[in-house]
Amino acid sequence: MTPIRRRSAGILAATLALATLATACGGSDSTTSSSAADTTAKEAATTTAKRPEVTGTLAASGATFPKAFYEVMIADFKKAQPKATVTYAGGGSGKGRTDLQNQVVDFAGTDGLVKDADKPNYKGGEFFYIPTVAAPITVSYNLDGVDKLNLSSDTIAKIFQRQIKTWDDPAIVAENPDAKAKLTGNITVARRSDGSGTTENFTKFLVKASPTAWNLKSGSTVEWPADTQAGNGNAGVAQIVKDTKGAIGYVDLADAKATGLKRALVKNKAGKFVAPSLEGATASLEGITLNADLSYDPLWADGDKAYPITAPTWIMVYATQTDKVKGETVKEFLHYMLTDGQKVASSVDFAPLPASVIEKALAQLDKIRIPA
Amino acid sequence: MDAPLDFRGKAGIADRLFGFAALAAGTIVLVALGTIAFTTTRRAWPALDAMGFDFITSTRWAPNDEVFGAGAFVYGTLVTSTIALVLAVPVSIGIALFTTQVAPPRWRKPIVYVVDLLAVIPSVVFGLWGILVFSKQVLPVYELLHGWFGGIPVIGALFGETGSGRNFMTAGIVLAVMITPIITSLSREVMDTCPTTDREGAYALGATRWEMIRGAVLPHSRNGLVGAVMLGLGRAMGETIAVALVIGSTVGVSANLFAAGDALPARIANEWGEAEGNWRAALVGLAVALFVITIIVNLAATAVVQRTGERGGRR
Amino acid sequence: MTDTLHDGLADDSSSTDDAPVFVTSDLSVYYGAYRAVRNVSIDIRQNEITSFIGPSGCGKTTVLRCFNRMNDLIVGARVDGSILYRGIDLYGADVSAVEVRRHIGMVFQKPNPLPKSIYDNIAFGPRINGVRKRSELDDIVERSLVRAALWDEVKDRVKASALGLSGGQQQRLCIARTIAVEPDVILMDEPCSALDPIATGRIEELMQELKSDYSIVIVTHNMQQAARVSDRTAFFTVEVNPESDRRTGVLVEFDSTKKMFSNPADERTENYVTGRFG
Ligand SMILES: Nc1ncnc2c1ncn2[C@@H]1O[C@H](COP(=O)(O)OP(=O)(O)OP(=O)(O)O)[C@@H](O)[C@H]1O
Ligand SMILES: [Mg+2]
Repeated sequence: MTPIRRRSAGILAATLALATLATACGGSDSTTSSSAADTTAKEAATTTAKRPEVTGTLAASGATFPKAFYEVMIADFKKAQPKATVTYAGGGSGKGRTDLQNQVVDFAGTDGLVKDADKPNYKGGEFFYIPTVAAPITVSYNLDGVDKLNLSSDTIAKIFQRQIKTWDDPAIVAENPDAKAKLTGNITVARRSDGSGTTENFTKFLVKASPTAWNLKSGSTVEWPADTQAGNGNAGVAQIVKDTKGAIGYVDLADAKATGLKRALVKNKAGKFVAPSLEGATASLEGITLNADLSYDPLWADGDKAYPITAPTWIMVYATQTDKVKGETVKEFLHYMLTDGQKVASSVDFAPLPASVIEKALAQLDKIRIPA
Repeated sequence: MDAPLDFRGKAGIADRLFGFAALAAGTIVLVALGTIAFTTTRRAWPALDAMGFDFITSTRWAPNDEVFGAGAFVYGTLVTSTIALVLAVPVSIGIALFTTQVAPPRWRKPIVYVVDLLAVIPSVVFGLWGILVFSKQVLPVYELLHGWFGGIPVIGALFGETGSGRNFMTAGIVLAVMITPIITSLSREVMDTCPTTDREGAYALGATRWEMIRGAVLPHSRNGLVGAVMLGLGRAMGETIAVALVIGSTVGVSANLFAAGDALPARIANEWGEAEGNWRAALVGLAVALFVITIIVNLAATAVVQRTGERGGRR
Repeated sequence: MTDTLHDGLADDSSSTDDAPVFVTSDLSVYYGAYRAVRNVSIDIRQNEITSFIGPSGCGKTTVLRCFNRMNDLIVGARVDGSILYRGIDLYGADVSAVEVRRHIGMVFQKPNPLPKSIYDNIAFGPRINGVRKRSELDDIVERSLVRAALWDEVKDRVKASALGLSGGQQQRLCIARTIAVEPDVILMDEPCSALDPIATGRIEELMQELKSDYSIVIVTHNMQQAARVSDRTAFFTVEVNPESDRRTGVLVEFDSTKKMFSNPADERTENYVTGRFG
């Protein structure tokens, strides 16, 4: 199946290339395809500069959390660079990292960072993290008559550990005095059945915000109590919440919206209850400190408007590329994602990165070594 | 005229070639199995080595703490496959008997067609049906069963509280639906080979249809039926996606069939994407455990067939 | 036999000795649209051996299988005319084929033991008739094997598979199995065709012995066998319709074996029994 698709993609690319050639001969501007994006004056400096043409075919795998965004990027990049082809197989951050270790992919998506102990396993040597976007993780619930629900991290921790089992628990009522009458019934906790970056970031948030209340640690899967309900993928968790009165679960913003779930306001570090939104995520990103390797932690961030469960994601790429054509294509693709790509992120419910982060990421891209 | 007699002939060469090809094919299968066993065990080794015997006996699975006990998943695999067999075998053999022995000939084709059609439905379809439809609609039935049997000592433990429709029982039922076509198909084939003369022999003694089936068809088909059941069991134990969707994905060992749990292949599928290092090795270890269990079950079945075969009809 | 074939009609085997067991009148058998045998009228008598002879394809097996409704198992087979078994219409609406077969046993051309042990083969019939007691079954098994002259050969391995016996032994096992249910009539379709002369001799002796308790109908291609063992002989042949080229079995002559082999009424019988075909 893959080879057939590859070939037809190749044919498609060739046809598109011919078409471009024809229009070029007709005397029209060869930058037409990106002219629409150029109207944003702010980033004019980085986008209007004519980019070199690249022709490589890239295979990638990894995190599923940002997959929706990467798929849009791949389609748009195809328009900008018709001769280049990128495929992103998803499969999970662990798979992406393992694939990159063994050099079976050209780059990998990851929601988490590599442990120091694992670094020697990377057969291609040194690698870079390139941050791409961020997104809020919602705490969605199904409770008739309660359209606004405030939750602190301690309460969330106790709910997901099954210490709080009913909606009329004093801890919940204390945070939602106005909704007291409607806070009734048992709580059903929905969580992921599969290992996932969403679980990892959600539990990291709890570890960070409520180190004493939360004792299940963090990871892409944790030892959930037996009386929690498992759903496959964000969509699976969203489905359980939608189907079950009294249910609560953590779901990414896109799926929570698509399923029409009510989303709780989560108390941030500044003590404010904030709704999950791209603005809240962007606010979280503003207060971060970017490490030298471009890793950063937007969870439990400072700022009145920061939504505290904002998850980062990166693309990992080897610092020294072995193939000229592929190396140039990877660089171009990432460049595209960090410039033009940022403008469309919000259309698929991802928050673009602040300009300061983009600047450093682009500088990192320049450090990628490509054989002559 | 005085040419020496040559008894070798073409057939001899052809026979030897065939013998050689058969041997080669057999060897390839064994070598492939051996290689799979070896490479998987080697990849699982870091986790197996770290966990020791606890890998099988422990029921704690905590990747964050580097604790990998497969016990709960082994249990889940055995429980769900057992439920599947208990439900599927009588139904399958019933359908096979009906089509081969009872149904009027012009009904046979349509029935066979429908059952075989079930066999080609991809497992993810069963899984989605299980999670979107069946697991929800069956919940009242579970509650009813809990009400009836929950109070009885011993048996009551099997029919405990029902949390959601995603549990051992649902997984077992979905598996039963999935393996029924295979078992039916194979059973039908072996039953069809029961000679008319055997069946007439039983009838001539005044047997009713059912007595004829018990006296002639079943003893005749016994080995084939065991084979059919084993293939069904193999599919049930190895089924991944459908089980992953409906078993509840919880690490737990409970006699309650209405409790959520997990099975070996489902756990592998659920965690493979995010696993690295020892965690990944431990997941490969789950595959090794499944491999070993499958072999044990098959050997046991063969032994049973041989034991009863010596006492009974087939030689 | 004191069983009843169906409610209300007692079997009156004890009534008169010269009343036939079977009265067949104007029997025609069809396989689908094809008429295999037509207009057969024949009487089978108590405690006699009746043999059916005739060229291959003339319908001997077909007629024989009507006597215990074995043809019911063949899709499309149909019977015209009537067979009265001790006064009861075998094909009557309220007569069960299963019950018929419990009274009228059958031994087939090819030995067909069930894939079970020797013991279970013989116990099968009694068991489905409701005999459950172990000691009683043991008794029946031994008695039947002794009567079928097989006991001495297998008494040490009655729990072994019946499929391990030789062809002749298997055939005697099938006879033992048939008499284990104590039928009224035994039908035998070329029971010795696969056997050597010694085994054949044994089975012929056995038939003579069984005759005192049972009525026997035997199909055979062996003329000497018919002459040796049977009291009466029926000769069937094939009639070919010159127009349609249809082949139909007909009963040519039925009489005492002595008469059939020494002084038959029909020329076709004479040609057949003396080895001249035509
Ligand atoms: N099941 C059947 N379906 C259709 N036709 C059949 C069937 N059984 C027998 N016949 C036909 O009926 C005719 C009589 O067959 P039958 O077996 O009674 O002959 P037979 O006298 O027993 O022959 P043989 O001596 O060879 O055993 C033959 O023409 C045969 O082809
Ligand atoms: Mg015949």
